[in-house]
Amino acid sequence: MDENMRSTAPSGQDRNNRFMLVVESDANNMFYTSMLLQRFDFRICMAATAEEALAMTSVAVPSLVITALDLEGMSGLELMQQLALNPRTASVPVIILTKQGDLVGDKRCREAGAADCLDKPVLAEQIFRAVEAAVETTPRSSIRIRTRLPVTVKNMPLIDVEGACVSVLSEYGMFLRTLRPAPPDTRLSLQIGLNDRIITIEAVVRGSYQIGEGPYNEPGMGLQFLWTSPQDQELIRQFIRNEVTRGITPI
Amino acid sequence: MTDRAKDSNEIMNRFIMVVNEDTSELVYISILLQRFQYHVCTAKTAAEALAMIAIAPPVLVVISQFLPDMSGYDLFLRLKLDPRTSEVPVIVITHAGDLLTAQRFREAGAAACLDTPVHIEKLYPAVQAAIESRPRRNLRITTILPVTVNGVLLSTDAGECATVLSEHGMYIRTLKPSAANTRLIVTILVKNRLVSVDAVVLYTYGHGQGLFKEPGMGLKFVRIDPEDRDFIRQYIREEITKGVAPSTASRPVLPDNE
Repeated sequence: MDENMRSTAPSGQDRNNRFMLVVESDANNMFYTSMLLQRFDFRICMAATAEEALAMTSVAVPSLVITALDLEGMSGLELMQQLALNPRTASVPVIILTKQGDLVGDKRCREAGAADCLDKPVLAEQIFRAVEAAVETTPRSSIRIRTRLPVTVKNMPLIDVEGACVSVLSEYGMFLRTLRPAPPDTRLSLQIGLNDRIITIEAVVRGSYQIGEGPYNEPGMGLQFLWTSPQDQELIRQFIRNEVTRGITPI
Repeated sequence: MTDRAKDSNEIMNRFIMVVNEDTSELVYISILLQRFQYHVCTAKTAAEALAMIAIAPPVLVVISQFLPDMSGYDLFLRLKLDPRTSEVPVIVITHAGDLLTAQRFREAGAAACLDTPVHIEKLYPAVQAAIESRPRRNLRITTILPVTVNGVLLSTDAGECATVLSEHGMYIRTLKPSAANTRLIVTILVKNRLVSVDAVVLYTYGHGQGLFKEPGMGLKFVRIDPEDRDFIRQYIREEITKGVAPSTASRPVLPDNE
């Protein structure tokens, strides 16, 4: 029995054990950025000044630093240079948020080695992509949200109508939770309910999983969208954006 | 809106404000709270905290006794006197042995007072009691542990395993749960140690029953070797605190680049 019992690290554990440091002196921007990152399921620490940020990196080394260029006291650029001088933090990527249209600041930060520079106010999709690109070996290009949307499949009756749903949604694909997933490469014609609209999607099965398998530890199938009408695609994009920014929209 | 979406919005719209002048304690507490699945905003001063709270009210504030710009008690009073935050529970981190201060906070309406250095086993139930309608007392972790039930190894290939573990019970994901009140002998493999317990089934879920419930059964341990319980408690603690400073975090840590 002992040989058969093998322990597996829970998926997502790695993500759980890392954190990002957000540095911003403006309370509104700080609230927005930090809430957004937590909604993307990243762990974060926050510092109002570069000096505080440096103190924090001496306690624990973050996997990424996201800093505003303009800070009270030392600037975001100087913070990046300080981090680069310390062997413990020299390899930590830094994303700098600059004021809109600050092309000079943007250029200086990129030349000084910033992983990315983004204009404030930063859009949810932009910061998601920049963060993924900076820290993940296989970065995701689009935000995926946990949800529970009703779904029907035209060419394949779902036996478990009660439990079947769209459990993860992105602009380009979704995870359909069901106990009887179709095998990979199956083409499906689906309808999902999004708010009060019915959206029709042609999709192909990319992965098929039993209970406890797959990226979400759920039974079901990962689907890549092959076709949606441009209007429906825009509805999906809007839905995702509204979900991740609900209640935290910057002013 | 679906129930699930409502659930996630509720979670997404809730956050905890942590105010602490000690950098390591601030990092420690905020990372732990995030691992408990809460969203967190942090501040090192009362002024920063008040600016953040003015943007959106948190569901809980965790403050330390000492702050650089005003005392923790003054911040506490400001929160209690402001109609926007008077109902928000406050947990206070006080210096160990400072019973008078703790008593003062309690009498003034603090949800809880915890000694620094903060112990994870105390923080978790205090936070749960302060903001959850059905508070949990014991830390639990999501995990994937192989399990045998009455001597039969469940099929990990089919995804059957223990998915949630606390020192008093666990959740086993399986398509064939035993009926409620069934007594089972369950063995799990925790860090190369086989732990065998007598457990009773508290509830079961079929597939599709309950939003986002895994099919399976919730178990309560009714007999467990005290050493095994200590081992599980230690394991859970290690898993949750992995990579962040331990509970002695209140010791000042000097930046090593100076």
